[in-house]
Amino acid sequence: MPLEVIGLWLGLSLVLVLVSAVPDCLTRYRWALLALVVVALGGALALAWTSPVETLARWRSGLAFDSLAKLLLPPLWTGAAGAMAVAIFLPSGRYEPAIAALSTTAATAGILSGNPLLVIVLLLAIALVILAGLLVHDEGLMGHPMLNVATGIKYLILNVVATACLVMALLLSNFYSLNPDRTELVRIVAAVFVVGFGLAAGAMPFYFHIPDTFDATPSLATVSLAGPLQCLAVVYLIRTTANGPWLLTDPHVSDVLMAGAIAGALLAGIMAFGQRRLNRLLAFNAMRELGWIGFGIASVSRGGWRGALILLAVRCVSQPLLIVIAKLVQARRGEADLEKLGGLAKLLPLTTFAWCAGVFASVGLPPAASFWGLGSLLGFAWSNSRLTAILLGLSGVLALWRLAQASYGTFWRPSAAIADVLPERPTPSWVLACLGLGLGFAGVAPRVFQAPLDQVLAYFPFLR
Amino acid sequence: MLIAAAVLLVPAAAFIGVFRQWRRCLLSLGALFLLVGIVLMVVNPTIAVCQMISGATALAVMFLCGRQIFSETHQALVVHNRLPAWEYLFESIVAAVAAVGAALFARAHPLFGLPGPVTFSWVWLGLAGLFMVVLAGNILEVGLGLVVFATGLNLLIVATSLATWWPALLAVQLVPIAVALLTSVAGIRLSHFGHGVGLDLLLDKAPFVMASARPVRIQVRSRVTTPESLSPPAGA
Repeated sequence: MPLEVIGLWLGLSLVLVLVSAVPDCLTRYRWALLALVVVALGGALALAWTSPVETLARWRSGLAFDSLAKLLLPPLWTGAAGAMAVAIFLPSGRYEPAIAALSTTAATAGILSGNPLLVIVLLLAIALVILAGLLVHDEGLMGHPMLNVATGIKYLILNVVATACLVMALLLSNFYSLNPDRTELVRIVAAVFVVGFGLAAGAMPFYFHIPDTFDATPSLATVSLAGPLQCLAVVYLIRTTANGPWLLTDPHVSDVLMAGAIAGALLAGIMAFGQRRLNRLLAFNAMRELGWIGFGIASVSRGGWRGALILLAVRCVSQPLLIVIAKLVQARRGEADLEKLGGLAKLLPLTTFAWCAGVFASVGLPPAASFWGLGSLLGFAWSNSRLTAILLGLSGVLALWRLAQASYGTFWRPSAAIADVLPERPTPSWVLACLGLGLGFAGVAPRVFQAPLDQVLAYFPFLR
Repeated sequence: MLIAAAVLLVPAAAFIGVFRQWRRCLLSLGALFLLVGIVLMVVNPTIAVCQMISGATALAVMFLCGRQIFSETHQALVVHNRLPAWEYLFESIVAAVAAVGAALFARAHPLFGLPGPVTFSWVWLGLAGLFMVVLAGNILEVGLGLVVFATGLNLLIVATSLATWWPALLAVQLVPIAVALLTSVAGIRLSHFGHGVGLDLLLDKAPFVMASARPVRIQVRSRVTTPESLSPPAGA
């Protein structure tokens, strides 16, 4: 099954790359391309839901469709395909759907892979695809070519350093498994791994390139960063921990990582208040979510991992939704500054609904599925330390406050007359609304997550 | 053979950072790829051949990029805009210190059970690449530094990885090509806007982006615009 799924997405990517290479081809054949995206998504979902699940992939094996892949791949594909479907109908860069398809293919291969080095290389490959989008495309609102080149150089350098750190951590952990008497290596490996993971995924405090990248890249390259890339990075973290539980069983390492993750989430929540552009606000929001997930994984507890996995699955849909809508409203107003947006709710009712669903999912409000994930995280945090639970809750309150401010400012605040008063286009709007409905449905029916989550957690006996 | 190749890697990598003419930098890079290929022959001959092919491709990409940029901007054929003699001395001392550091590290910590020359080679290439990126004054220098760094990383990966990881090992060989291609596109785009390829121009135009990149802080140097400064120094 893994090869078929990868082949399906690779085929879609190749078609989109070829179509992008010809001017106006994307506009001319957009209905055919939409059908192709729907077929690819439907085929992949059918394969995922009907294929037998193997045991959790161990490093050094080939491709495997395990319970972790079964939990995460459907939302990842849905979010990416939704973003592609919307982008096909928007007057955006013609390379954008191809960038999203390529990064989804690489993330799918990485999540299905049992080869750690291949996962690291695929992480770098997604980063390079995003970077290519940054360098090729300069038609966005922030499309100053100097900004794109400067951001691109920074992004490239930090990703090469991230790859080096992840490779060193991998080799050192292999070395440690052969020489278990070298106990000093445990903390060194953990430190190098955290730096590599932080730089690759853009977690606090290794976030230097993330806000600029959100600001400068075309929207579907940003979707690739917040969706497939960050999902694959977290999956690599989970698989590494599953293969070498010694990495997190040292209580000092676990405590430091939990404190760092919660502090990062809180800091991202605070720093979001200083952002004046919608894209930069979403960048800090994505970092806050990553802090929550990092906290859950560093806790080495069943409750923490359950919460982190639910949040990870939900953000595979909610992040693309928020980023694409941000692009859509900015394009409608011709402004990227939050102060200059407003008055779009009447013009874009379906889009407004989808945005609200995305915000609810991002901060963990009911009926979004992430509510159960946040609840699980808060439950663990309360039992561990009340201060931790308060900090976690505070970061959520801050995020809710800032996103509510931004939502009001973008959609309901009275503003100057809008030049483009055409009603919203039905196809992309309905796609966005359906994604929003799906986020709510998964929360109303938490059993959707229950069975695959239990299957995943069963493979981690070391969880407290 | 292995020791000789490892020792020769010191001047090959150092010259990339010290030479002023971009063609000579690329010649040194070609020599570096050849020497790394020789070191890899001892470890894994198949991957060594792949590495040499990939290195030659990256070299061709960077050559085409350099030719394009320097023919458009009508600058003298210099990679670096800084020419005072003390900077040669500074860079040479940095290279010597890095080489000695790599040798001491290889002697004190022979990690992963690798032979001394192999450990020395990857540590030296990693350090040299990092120094080049940190001291870079333009995009081409950043690209050269990243390619050298990636080559050192590749050497380490090939020398330590399991044989069952061969798909990933082959994919890793593509990294220098991708890095060369992307930095070349960035350089050509910048030169198309008539700004040359200096990073100081990026600092002027996108200050908040570059200034927040603390881990890879790139030094801003005053631009010397006298005609003498644009001609390549003798012996470089």
